[in-house]
Formats: sequence, C-alpha cells, structure tokens
Amino acid sequence: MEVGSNSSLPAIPPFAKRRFTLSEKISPSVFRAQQLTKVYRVGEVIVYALRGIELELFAGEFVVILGPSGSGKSTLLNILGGLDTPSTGTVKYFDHDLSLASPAELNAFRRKHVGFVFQFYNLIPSLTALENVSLITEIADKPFAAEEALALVGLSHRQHHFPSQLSGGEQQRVAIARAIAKRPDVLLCDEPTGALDVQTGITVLETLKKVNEEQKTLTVVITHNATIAEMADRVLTMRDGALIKEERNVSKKSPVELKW
Amino acid sequence: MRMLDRKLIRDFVSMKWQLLAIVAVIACGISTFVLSTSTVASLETTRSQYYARYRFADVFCDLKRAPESVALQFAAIPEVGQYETRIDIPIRIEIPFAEKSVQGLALSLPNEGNSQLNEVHIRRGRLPDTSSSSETIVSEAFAAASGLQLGDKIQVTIYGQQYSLFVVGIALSPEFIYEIAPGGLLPDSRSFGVIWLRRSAMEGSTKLDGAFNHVSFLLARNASLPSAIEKIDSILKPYGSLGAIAREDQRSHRFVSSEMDELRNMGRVAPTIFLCVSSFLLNMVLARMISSQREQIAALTAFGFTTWEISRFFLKFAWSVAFVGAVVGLGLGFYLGLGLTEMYSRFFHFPSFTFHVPWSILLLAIVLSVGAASLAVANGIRGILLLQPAEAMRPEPPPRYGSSTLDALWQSLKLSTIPKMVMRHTWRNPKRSLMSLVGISLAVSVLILGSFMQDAIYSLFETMFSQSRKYDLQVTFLEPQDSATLHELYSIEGIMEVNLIRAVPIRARSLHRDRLLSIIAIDSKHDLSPLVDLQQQQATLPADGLLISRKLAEVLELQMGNTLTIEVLEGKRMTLDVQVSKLIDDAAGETIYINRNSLATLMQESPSATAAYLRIDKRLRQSVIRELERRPHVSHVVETADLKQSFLKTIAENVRRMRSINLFFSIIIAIGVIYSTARISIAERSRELATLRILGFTHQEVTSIVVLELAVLTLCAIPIGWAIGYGLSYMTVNAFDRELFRMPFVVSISTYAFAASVVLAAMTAASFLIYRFIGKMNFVDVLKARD
Ligand SMILES: Nc1ncnc2c1ncn2[C@@H]1O[C@H](COP(=O)(O)OP(=O)(O)O)[C@@H](O)[C@H]1O
Ligand SMILES: [Mg+2]
Repeated sequence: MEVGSNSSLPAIPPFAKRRFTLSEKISPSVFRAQQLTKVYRVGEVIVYALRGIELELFAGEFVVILGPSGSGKSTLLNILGGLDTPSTGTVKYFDHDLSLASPAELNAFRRKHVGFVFQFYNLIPSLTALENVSLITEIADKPFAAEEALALVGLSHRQHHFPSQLSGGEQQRVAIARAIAKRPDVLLCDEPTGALDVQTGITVLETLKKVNEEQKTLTVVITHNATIAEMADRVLTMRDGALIKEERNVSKKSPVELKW
Repeated sequence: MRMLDRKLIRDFVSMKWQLLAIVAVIACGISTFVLSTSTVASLETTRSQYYARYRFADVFCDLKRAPESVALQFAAIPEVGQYETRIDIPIRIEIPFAEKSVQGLALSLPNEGNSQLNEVHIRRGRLPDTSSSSETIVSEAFAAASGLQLGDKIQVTIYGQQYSLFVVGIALSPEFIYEIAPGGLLPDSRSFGVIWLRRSAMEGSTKLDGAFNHVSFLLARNASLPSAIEKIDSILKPYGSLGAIAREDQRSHRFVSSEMDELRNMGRVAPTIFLCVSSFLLNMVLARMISSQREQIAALTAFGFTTWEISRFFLKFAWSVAFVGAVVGLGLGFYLGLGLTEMYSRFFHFPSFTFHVPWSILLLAIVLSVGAASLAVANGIRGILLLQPAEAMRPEPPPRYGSSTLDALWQSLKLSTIPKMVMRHTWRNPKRSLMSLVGISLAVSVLILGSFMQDAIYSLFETMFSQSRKYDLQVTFLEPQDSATLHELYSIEGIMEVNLIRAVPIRARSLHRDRLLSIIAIDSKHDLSPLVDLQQQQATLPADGLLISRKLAEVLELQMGNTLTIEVLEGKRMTLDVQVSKLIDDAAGETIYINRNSLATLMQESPSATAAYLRIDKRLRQSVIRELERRPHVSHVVETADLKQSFLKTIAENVRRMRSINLFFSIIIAIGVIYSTARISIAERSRELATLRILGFTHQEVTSIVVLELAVLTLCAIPIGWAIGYGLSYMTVNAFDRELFRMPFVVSISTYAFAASVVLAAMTAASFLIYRFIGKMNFVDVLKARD
C-alpha cells in the first residue's frame, strides 16, 4: 500500500498496518512543518514564539528538541499535537493539514493519534493509577488493557494508588502509561523529567525508550537538558523560535549512561 | 464515562460538607414548594369533591321572611338549576354541666331525608326522625369541643323559649368547612356551634310556618352568576332580603380560599428565594472547582475529550446535587405537609382530608431544582469553553494585584500587613466578594422574612385587644333595642360601663362596585372600643359622614370626600347617600363606622342598639352573663377573654408554626451561605496560607486572614440584608390578605437584631471550622499539590 498516493484517504490512515508493512529504512514522514510561525500579542507587545520552522519527523524515531526556556519548544510541540494552531505556515500530519483543521477535527486527531506527557504529570488526583489510565482507554479504539500499560511502565504493583500516594517519577510513569495505552501514533513529551531528580528522570526516560522501541511510536521529547539529547536518534536545537541545529546520533546512549 | 463517574463520586466525597450545605438549601426550597403547592392541591381537590358530592350551593340568600309560595318563582329563573329553602336562626345552646351557654346556629333540614343542597355528612348516628321535634344533629367540631355524645340532651333557646333536644347525629356540612359564628371574629367551637333540626320542629318557635328565611341555589350549567343574583335579588327584595351572595363570598368558602391563596403565595416566594440562593452557591462552588481543575480539564482536552464530554461531567455534578436536594426536599416537604394537613384538619372540617403530592408537582420540583442547578453550571461551562488547552497547561498566573486609589487610603490607615492582605484580596476579587456579600445578605433577609410575622401578630394582638377591645363582654340583641336598654343594662349589678352599638346590614355601592356588609354605628363617646389603626394610632369618629377602612375604600374605589350609596337591607330599606369623611387603616379589612345619632337621623328613626360593649366587675362575671342570657331579647354574649384565647389558639398558633418552619429554613440558608463562602475562601488560598505558615506566621494569624475577610463581608452584608428583608416582608404583608384580618407591617428592632445575631453566630461557627481546618492543614502537602 502506497502512502500518500490516495488523497481522498479517510481521516484515519491505517497506520497500524503500515507500521508492520513498511521497513524502517523508508519510514515516511509523519509530521512535516513548513514556514511555521506563531505570534502572541500581549497588549502592546508582540512575541514571536516561532519564526519559520521547517521540520520533518519520521515514524518510529526518538527525537529530542533541545533549547533554553522560552525558545518556543512547548509552542512547537503543542502545534504538532493539535493543542494549538500556527499563526502562519503549514503542519501536515501525513497528508492532513493540521493548520487548516477545525477545533473539532483537532480534537478527534488528538483522540485518535496523540499521546501527551506533561512536565507536571496532570493526573486526575481523585482517580487511582489504574483509573487514570482507564480514563483514556475508555475513549480509545484499540487500546491496551490499562493493566498492561501499567506493566509496561513497571508499575503493576501501584495500580490502586492515588497520585498523592506516588512519587513524582511514579506519577510521570503513570502519565506515560496513560499516554501510550491507546497505542498512539505519536508520543509528545514536554519536559517529562523537568520536575524530577536524576535517578527518577532516568527511570522515566528508560520507560520512554522502551515504549519507543517496543511500540515503534514516534516519540518527541522536549527538554532544556542537553544530556538527554544523547539518547535520541535525532536532536533538534531551538533558539528564539527557530531551529538552529540538527544532529543525528551515530550511537545512541542508553538512559543509564547519561550523566547530568 | 465510567472513570469520569468515579471521579464524580470522589469529588463529591471530597466536597461533602459544602455540597451538603447546598443540598440543604435546595431541599428547603423544594420542600416549601412541595409543602405549599401540594397542600393547596390537596385542599383544592378535597374541597371540590366535597362540594360536588354534597351539592354545595352556588348562591345563598338570607332574608327576613318569605312565604313558601314565593319560592315557586325561582323555578322560572332559567339560570337556576335547583333551589332549596330553609330556616336559619341564631340560638343559644345549653350543655348539661357546662359553665356557660354557647352561641349557636340552627339550620332546618327538610322534614324527610337529607337536604337537597348543602347536604350534611353524618359522621356518627343518624338524621333526626321524619318530622321529629326532639331530635337534633350537631356539628362535629362543636360536639368535640363541648364533649357532646350521641344520646346527650341539650337545651336550646330559640327566641327566648327553651327546648330540649336529643343528639342523634354528629355531622359535617360543606357550608361549615370553616366553622365560624355569623359576624364572628374567629372560629371557636367552644363558644359557637351549628345544629340541624327538622323544619317542622323549627317552624312554630320561629313564627316561620309555611315560610322560609334562607334559600340556596345550584345554578344551571353555564348560567351567568350576576344575572342569577340579580333575578334572585329582585324576587326576594320585598321579603327583607339581605342580598344574594355568590359562593365566592360565602364565609367558610372565602376563608378556605384565602388560606389557599396564602399558601400559593408562600409556594412562590419562598422556593424562589431558596432556589436562587442555592443556584448561586452552586455557581460559586462550580466556578471554584473549574478553576482549581483547569489543569485536569486541559489534560482531558489534550487527550481528545470533547468539550461536551467535559461539560457533561460538571452538568452531572450539578444535577446530582440538585437531584439529591430535590429528593431530600420532597421527603421533607411530604413530612411537613403531613403536619400542615394535621393542622388544617383542626381548622377545616372535611369528611376526610389527606395530604397527597401530585405527580406533576413531584416532577416540577425536580425540574425546578435541576433548572436552578443548570443555571449555576451554565456560567462554569462558559469558563470551560473559553479555556485554551495549551494555555491551561501552564500553571495559573498569580492574580494581578496592582495599586489602586484605595491603596492610598489603606496606606494612610497604616494598617499592618494582614488587614492589608485581607483588604486587597477582598477588593481584587470583586465578583467573588460581591457574590458572598449577596449570599450573606440574602441569609439575613430570609431570617427577617422568617421572623417578622411574629412582630406583625404581636402588634395585631395589641391593636385588636389591648387597644381597641377594652370591653369585657359584648352582648348582642335579637332585635334592635331602643335607648331604654342603656338603663336596663346599667341596672344589672356588676356592669360598670356600657357603649351601645347599632349594626345595620347594607349594600354599599359606589360607581362600579358594590359590597354586602354591615355599617357599625357607635356613639361619639366610645371609650370601650377606641378606633385604632394598624400603626396603633387612635382615630376619632367624625360627627357626620362615614369613617371607612382604607381597604374597603380601595375595593369600592372611593376617596375621602366621595359619596357612598348605602342601601339599607332592613326596615324601610332606604337608600342613602353619605359622604366619606375619613379613612382608617385598620386591622378588620371591611368596616364602615358612623355616629349612632347621625345614622338614626339618616334612617329617620330614633337611636337604637343591636349590641352593647360592657365593662364589668370581673368578680361578678358569671352572674352578669347569666343575667344577660336570661333576657329574652338577648341573642348571645361574647367574652373578650375567650376571643383572646381563640386568637392565640388559632391565628397565633398558625403563624407560630409557619414561623418555626421559616426560621428553620432561614437558619439553614445562613449557615449554608457562610460555610460555603468560608470554604471557598480557604480553598482558593490554601497555597498562600500554607506559605504564610511556613514563613512563620502563627496558626491564629493565618486564621485571622480568612476570618477577617469573612467578618468584613458579613458586617457589610448585615445592613444590606436588613433592607432586603424589609422589602420582602413588605411584599409578603401585602400578599397576606386574610378574610378577617389585615396584617400590620411591623419589623421590630429585635427581629433585626435576631437576624444579625444568627448570621454572626454562623460566622463565629464558621471561624471555628476555619481555625480547625488550618490547624489540620499539612502545609508541605498543600504546596506540593497541584490540584
Ligand atoms: N499564551 C501566550 N501568550 C503570550 N506569550 C506566550 C504565550 N505562550 C508562550 N508565549 C511566549 O512564547 C515564547 C515561547 O514559549 P514556550 O514555547 O513556552 O517556550 P519553551 O517551552 O521553550 O520554554 C516565550 O517567550 C513565551 O513567553
Ligand atoms: Mg515549555
């Protein structure tokens, strides 16, 4: 089956099939951003959060976006994930133009294809770990069992704990389980280790790596921590709303080897 | 959404006390709604079934005397479907072993069977034997009050002659659902009773052989009431008719109707206030909930939950609260309804009176509370719609505190830091502060509304008894007496002062309206019955012309100086035009006073009296009463002390019950509003408070921040609440239009003080809760938690 050959493709391309039929070498571009800008206006002041981003992300990749605070990483990630829309330019998800999509379409896009992991976990405090995951599997098409997703992040023994009874790292792993349980096509992580200590951060990153390898999910991690970049397939560096550098790691490090 | 439902339940549990407060307020609203509307519905159906089954008449007419043959003319009136003549006479009843005799009314039954119209319902025993002259049936209320049993013997005095009668039946009649003496002030079955006799037994003693003095009519279907009344009046005019009255003006009917109107009114005002308050509390809680859960909501949006799915969660939340409130309210309303029904069963005599809640009211109650909740949620959902998921992922920016002109003022006050924080916080959240202010003032106003009735009743009691009824006895004569009565009365040992009264039945007519009532003629010296208005001011009787109550003037569309046409319904049946010289705002709604001499002049007769007010030597009370009752021209004697008693037992008791229900509810509102306000204030500022604790502020100091804010709001709210309460009470008094009394409008200082102290007490209790809550707060957890 040829990708992108049929422009009247239904809104949901059969990625699951594609994942198994395509070889890694000719992995297609999942996201393609062109001349992406985002402008905020706060009273008199105009903030250019993104200035002409050109970007292509491929299936199965582990990508780290690096940059200091305020460089526009979150803005870019939110636009890729359909949480926000660009001011000008286009973002395509396969052949679907997210920049033209309506809020309802973006909502459906997130529901079907995107898993988010946030810096502050954003778990529902009144639901247990398992219930937080089930919350999402309930609205997904072909999810993992919530227990399975928790097992994948190594938290089977904490299923019935409430967020307040979990450590930060455990909460973040629950958040990862929640994000991957619906078998998303892309996993977008905004500073997933930002609120964690080194050791816990490593556990979380290992979990992300494992998910990326086992599920072949395109994983984008944004961080201001350059060390994390060493575990990526590809590292994109941002400054002042622009991509200034792109590197491909010849040898990926495993999270345990990272030092910061 | 199974998981969202779980979240719903856990959110409920974590907010249980706040929600309980709201549930309580909703329940109050729903229960007053159910209570009053269902009682009205129950009364309505019970009464109309009773009327239909026992053929309660549409039109009634009292007259002096008409030969039975006159009645044949009624058959020719096309509007009349059915009619029945009878004899009604005032009597005095002596019960064996009773201390004193009782005023009574004897009604004739046909010589055979039951009445065709206004049929009596035999509760126990049977109807008197055909044409029996020694058997009687008595009204149930009277029998109960005087301990009469079947088979007992009573003595009745009819026009001065005594008869012995055996009680063979105890009965009810649709004419006496509310059993009150003609011209009486209050129902009192210990001093008034209705009995029924065979017509043949009454004819001789009343000189009404082959004649009647009362006739009832059932109208033909679709007949015009005014034209029926007009035709009946024209037939009976020559026979001393007192004017035909429609069912609407029949005393018992009218009283029951006015009671229902009052309940209907209560069913509108109280629930509206309660549901507004609860909607408003729920709105406050939801707004707080949505703002504290904005990151959760954003995460849900990021994962693709639709706005509808998320809004539905909050709707479900609000609806569940509303539903629980409605169910509790229905239960409470039902329970109170049983109590109210029990109370009405004592005043209103129905063959059976049961309380039921119609399905429509049940549904409406749920719709109302769910509606109030939806209103509360609408605002919150708007917040969700405006929430940008990408925005919401960022932590909430700190509220903007800038310097304002008021800051300069506070600076100049040299306040220490804590009061400054309180002032800023109160001022920087104007919407929220305003909402709390409104909530607390509503609580104050509801407290005033709930208790001012007591003031009104107390003032009414003062006006009616201490001030305008300075006489001990009122003696009523069977026929008008001439001036010699005065001497006769003074000659009785123990009578110290006498004021004569002449009451004349009239039809008062102005341009558009007419009204059947009595004109009361008193002497210019009337010390025993001063004319006192609702403001407890004395009025003097004008030497010429009429003094009429303001209410009647309104009804007749009259003003001071206008001329009122008076059609006298007795004697020569003259028609007089008399000027209205003065208006009085009195407790008895429909009275016309005139000077006794000037009435005599107008009626071209010598001054006469139909009743007298007496001040007596209390030690000789019994002998005075006995002496008066011995006289053949005396109809009955009423003791003011008995009236006072029955006032306290009926009206005052009734109001006291209503007041305790209202008070119970208003205290719940006060506590609900203040508790919710305090809780929200704590929740919104838990981080700030925890930080202060960590910075070394003491438990008391931190508590004082929240308590001070609450105190400032409460103190501002109290005067506003007083004003609102005053307004609401005024509206209520105007709606409260009893058949027999008008309520004075008084809100005493003690009521204001009471309302303020309940709210302050609730505030103190809330302060204590805040203190405890802050004591238990784990500051480290609070700072860590991103709720
Ligand atoms: N809603 C907004 N309104 C105004 N400015 C914003 C908004 N969101 C982001 N910005 C600005 O855009 C720039 C990029 O922000 P962001 O993408 O969050 O950076 P990063 O995630 O790299 O720290 C910053 O200067 C930030 O202040
Ligand atoms: Mg960021």
